[in-house]
Amino acid sequence: MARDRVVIDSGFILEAILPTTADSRDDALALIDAIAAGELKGVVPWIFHCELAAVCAKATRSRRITKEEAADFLDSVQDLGLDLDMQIDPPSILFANAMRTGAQAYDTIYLMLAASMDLPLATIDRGMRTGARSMKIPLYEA
Amino acid sequence: MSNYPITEARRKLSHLVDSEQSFTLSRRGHLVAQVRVFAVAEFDQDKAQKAAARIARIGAHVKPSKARGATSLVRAVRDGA
Repeated sequence: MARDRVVIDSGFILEAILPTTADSRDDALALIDAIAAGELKGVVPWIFHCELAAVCAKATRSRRITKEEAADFLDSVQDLGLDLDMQIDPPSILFANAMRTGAQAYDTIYLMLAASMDLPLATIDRGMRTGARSMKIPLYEA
Repeated sequence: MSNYPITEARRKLSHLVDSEQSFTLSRRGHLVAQVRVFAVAEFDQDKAQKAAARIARIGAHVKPSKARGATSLVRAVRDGA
């Protein structure tokens, strides 16, 4: 049976280990649990893994988490079995999407993936949520 | 993005999936579909549940912080801050 799918913003899943609030951590863990239970399938763009690594490096350097915890987290995300979108748009398309949506070029990579696949987007980033609403992309609620 | 007539795409579908990020299909000169290629991950529920438990353990001791929370850190990475 096909599982429901959701596009996941890297920030949303990172909230599990680097929470902004206790609620954002709970929401991230609920999403991760739903994926692990096989109820949901996560879909991510190519930039997702770069952002996970970049943020883990920042958090490790600022001693918020240890190097071992960062490595363990990154391995664990791999084990969740997320589907990776292989499409890399040329810069002119990224630029055009950013101008059209008013969102950051990075954000449009997630927004365009969700829009083109007709999938909800899991994000708590304010700018990304605004962009999603303007493009009529449903937001995932844990 | 490359375009292929359906008949041609059918003949070399395996090669196209291996070599293209995505491509469009046409029939009698008209675009009829876009194929988007994903690296589909294998799902192992036991492995995934152990991973979820490890992630929960890592985050359990980290205090929430608005300034140093993941959403702010990702935003800083995207904005080059």
